[in-house]
Amino acid sequence: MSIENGKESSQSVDCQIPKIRQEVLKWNGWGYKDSGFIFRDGVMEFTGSRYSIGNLILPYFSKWIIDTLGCDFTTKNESVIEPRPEHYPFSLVSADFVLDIERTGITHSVRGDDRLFRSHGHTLHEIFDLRHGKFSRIPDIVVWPEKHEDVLTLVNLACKHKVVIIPFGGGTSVSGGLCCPENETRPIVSVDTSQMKRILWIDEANLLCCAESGIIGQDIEAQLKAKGFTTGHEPDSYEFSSLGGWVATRASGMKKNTYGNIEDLLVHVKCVTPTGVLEKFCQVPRMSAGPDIHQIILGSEGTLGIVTEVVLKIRPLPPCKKYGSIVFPNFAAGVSTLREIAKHRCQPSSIRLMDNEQFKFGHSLRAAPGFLGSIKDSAKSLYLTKFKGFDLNQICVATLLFEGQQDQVEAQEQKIYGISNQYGGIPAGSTSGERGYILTFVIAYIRDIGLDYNIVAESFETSVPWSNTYNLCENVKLRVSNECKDRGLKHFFITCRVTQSYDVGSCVYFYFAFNYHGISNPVQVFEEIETIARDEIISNRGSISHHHGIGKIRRQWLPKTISTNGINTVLQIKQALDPQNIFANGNIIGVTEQQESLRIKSKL
Amino acid sequence: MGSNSEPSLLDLLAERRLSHDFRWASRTWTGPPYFVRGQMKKPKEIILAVLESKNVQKVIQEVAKDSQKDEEIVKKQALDILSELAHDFHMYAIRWFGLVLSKLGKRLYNSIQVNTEKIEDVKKAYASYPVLLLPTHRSYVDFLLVSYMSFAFELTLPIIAAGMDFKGMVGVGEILRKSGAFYIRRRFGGDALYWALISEYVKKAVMEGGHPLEMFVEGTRSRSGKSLKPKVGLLSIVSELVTSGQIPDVLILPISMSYDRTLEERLYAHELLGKPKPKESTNGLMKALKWLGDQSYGSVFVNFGDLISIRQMIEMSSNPITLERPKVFLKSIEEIALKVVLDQQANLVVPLFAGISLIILSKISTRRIRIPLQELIESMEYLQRIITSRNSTFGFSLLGESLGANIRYILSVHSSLVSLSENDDLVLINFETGDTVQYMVFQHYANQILHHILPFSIILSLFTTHLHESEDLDEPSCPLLDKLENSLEEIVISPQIEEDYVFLKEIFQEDFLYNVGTELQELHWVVNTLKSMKLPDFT
Repeated sequence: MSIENGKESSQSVDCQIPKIRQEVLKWNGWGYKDSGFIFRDGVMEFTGSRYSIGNLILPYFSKWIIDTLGCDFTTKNESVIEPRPEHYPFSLVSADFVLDIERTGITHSVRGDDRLFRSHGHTLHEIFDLRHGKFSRIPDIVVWPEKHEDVLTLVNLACKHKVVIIPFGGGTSVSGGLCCPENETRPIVSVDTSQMKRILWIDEANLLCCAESGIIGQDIEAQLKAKGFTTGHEPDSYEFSSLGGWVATRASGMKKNTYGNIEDLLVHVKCVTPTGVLEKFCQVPRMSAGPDIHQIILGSEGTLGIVTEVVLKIRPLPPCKKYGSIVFPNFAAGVSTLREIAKHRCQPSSIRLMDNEQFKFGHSLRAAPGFLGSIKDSAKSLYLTKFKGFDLNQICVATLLFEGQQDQVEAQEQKIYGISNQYGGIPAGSTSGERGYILTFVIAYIRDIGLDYNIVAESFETSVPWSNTYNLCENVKLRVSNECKDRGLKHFFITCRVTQSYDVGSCVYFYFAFNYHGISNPVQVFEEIETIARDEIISNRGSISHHHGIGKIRRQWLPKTISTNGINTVLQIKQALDPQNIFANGNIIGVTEQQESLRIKSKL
Repeated sequence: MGSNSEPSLLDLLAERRLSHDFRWASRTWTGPPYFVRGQMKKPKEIILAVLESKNVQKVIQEVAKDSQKDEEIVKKQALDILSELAHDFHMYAIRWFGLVLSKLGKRLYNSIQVNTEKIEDVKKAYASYPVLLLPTHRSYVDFLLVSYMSFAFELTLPIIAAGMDFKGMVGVGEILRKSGAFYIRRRFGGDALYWALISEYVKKAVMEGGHPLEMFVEGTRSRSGKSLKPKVGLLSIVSELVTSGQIPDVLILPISMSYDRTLEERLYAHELLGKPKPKESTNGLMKALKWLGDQSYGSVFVNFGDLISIRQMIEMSSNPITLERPKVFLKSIEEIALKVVLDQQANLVVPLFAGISLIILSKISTRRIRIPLQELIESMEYLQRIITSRNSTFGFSLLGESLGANIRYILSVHSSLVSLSENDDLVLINFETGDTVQYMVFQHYANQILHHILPFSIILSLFTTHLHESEDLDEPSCPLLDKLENSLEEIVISPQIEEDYVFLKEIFQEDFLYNVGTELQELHWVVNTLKSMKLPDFT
């Protein structure tokens, strides 16, 4: 370790996810191979010891699934087995290109399983197809650059050989962003950034750190923690998602109230495009220097280039970390409280409001209690229903996370419980709060067990002004429920939570699932309803996305979101940075529109 | 339950004649799930929420400022208006009505025939979105009947927007309020405070009250028996819920209710002739009930229309609807209202006496007051074919019996207007020249079939005019009927006739609802109907 210019440079790398991802991660589902829900001996349990609910029997959860989703555990819908090498599509990449790659010394692979793993993200459509052994277009080769210069070399080679590059970070996309455009005839190179995983330096004087874009959330946090720091950026996918991916998709972290979203944390970014590196030559707190080119890279979703190095703000680890929760008589009271808290700008690091359905669902995800536990549970609900007059089918819960100095945290707690009291909210202790946050990471595993038993599920999110938050939540749930009934779906589940509070509005996150027993095209039906839900969101003044991004599945709403002039501006930027359309993943606007625009331009 | 030939027709009274009314009215009653946003609010809670709403608060401040009154005084005023306005739904009042109406209904009516085909759709709609019940309005009975049906079919009871007239009736006003009635002034456009209160009240009640909202889109009982041009005030308030994004949709259920004999037939005739409407009073009601009890009123016919989605109607409208463009908004609400009334009209079961009155009036106009029964029946058969071709039907009080038998029965129901000669072969009309009241009563019924006849009347008169104009003076002898058969189609389906048809429908649009865009369809329908039936000799 050496010190230069007051910056501490670091080479030590400790990475949780190996280069050959499928060694520890599922090839056809979410997360670690050793972790997940299974149904065994009549009850649900969670395997592995990585998570706090690991190796626990979950009797209430099995019951919840049966009651809510009409699940039939007697017939299992197994995924196909991992394809054999000869079953993968033939790689289109030319020998010349491979030879050129080999000359650079950058590692690569044309193995089917490596290519398949990088051909998808985690939308329902993608996972459903994988489980049914359906894959149409997958990358033709995977390459693993190890530093910024490698990426420069690769992009140059791509231009020379006229191949397509699709950048790949953590692979947690839920927007269809990683799908290869089916009609792409050029060879597709998946550039996996996972080996660019070093923290290059930490600058304690200015509280900055510079890291390579492939580093994943849990690694950067572990390494910073060892030095007493944190970025505070904690998206729900942070075990797997990468720094470059966060920048490219405008990620949002759970604790943004204290630390900011990725655009607030970002101080500098290097992005390699076909026409050169896009970067600034300073790392200042702000500047007035025309339009901010960082804003072009943020949210570019791999359509312009590859993010290679990022400078982020860091903070000293907070001395005090405390969870909390508040029970509200109904969802409207909860939303009013969140709005009031935002008005006072006294949001804790995180505050999330779950609706009644999600509260019940979360409540079911617990182990069988001991004798005392059940007494405590019934005493609690007795207090709420009899003494406070709450209706268990109306109540909802906010979970809180406080971080900071001891006295700050205490003052904040007092203020927040005071405000919520005005709306009938009652503090409900730290245990349920903590549980809520821990569950965040296991919820993503539920879909896989659902698919085992005829249940399709997905989440979607939006941002919305405060004045429309409550109505949007209720209307989307109502619309989705009615659309399900109209399609004869008997068992469905739609729930939401308000996950972020801003000055002008909130972020709302929905989970939607249904039992597709008797339906031949569940994914199509799901997407139909999801589209209606998005239309409903937009007519309730919600946005196309808060942090999931556009990818391919939300492109249709972009013109209504950013105006035709806005679309043209984005296309012109694309034309300036990537005239040959090397970064042709088709995200945000899509190839046809791009080509159409270019065609019109060439006519002129 | 009821037994009859039409499988989807159910007679509400048939079952009442079989079992004990009190037990029926006090039975355990569970409505199906009905939409509610958040936690259901009780009537008192709705009033409080209305007063506390930002909208009302703002208007209170403005009114206080403008009229230089203390805000508290205006607030008190608002509370008074709301107390005057609000419903106070209690199930016991419904049960009481269930009992009384069962007794009364069985005395007055032979049957209450409800087409139950759509009941399942209605139940499904109740669970999905807020629902507006928009019935036709031909009698005070409409008001009670919808609630009575809801109670019988175990559908969530509606709250009902009623006129102020009832409110003043001692006892009755309150029990109606307890049955879900709320009272609105007939005109309130200019009163900012009243408008704010009524609109907030209606919105809160629709979203959080847990009851469907019933109102009469025609605004008032149709004295003439024709469908009236709709009013849009309340409908626009409810539609605002959709356009402002408070709810994805509100569904409208048009309900068509017709009567063999209208309770108010004579009152209407007097009112139409300029006699002021008697003030509603409890005393008057009791007297009326006593008198009514000795009369027979035939049957009541109820048809539910297809549910109309306000969202879809607004989406279909070519203009984007936003509240920022009040005129465009109002225009599209007018379109929705017109569609509702047209649907109501199309679904009305035509009372037999409507057809009989039409025929009688044509006889009176030729100074005949006796008609052979057989002739009446044949003319009715002809009318029956016309309305059948419009997918409508005559109401048969005696289900399963012949047209003739039903006509005889209806003649007996209307014994104050018509009677049969001793040997049963002549229909005698109780009419003396100059008896305008009697004439108006006949017209009240005849008007209930006119919407089916109107296209015929207009098109045929256009056709004959056309013939006269193009008449070759050399052969004036060719009879009209031959002409009809020979050249009907080529003449009627012509741009000239279509233009004239539009012109005349426009002229009559205050009298007859004008469904723009169906002209050509109607021309074809008239031609096809005429071609398919042998014309009777009307001479």
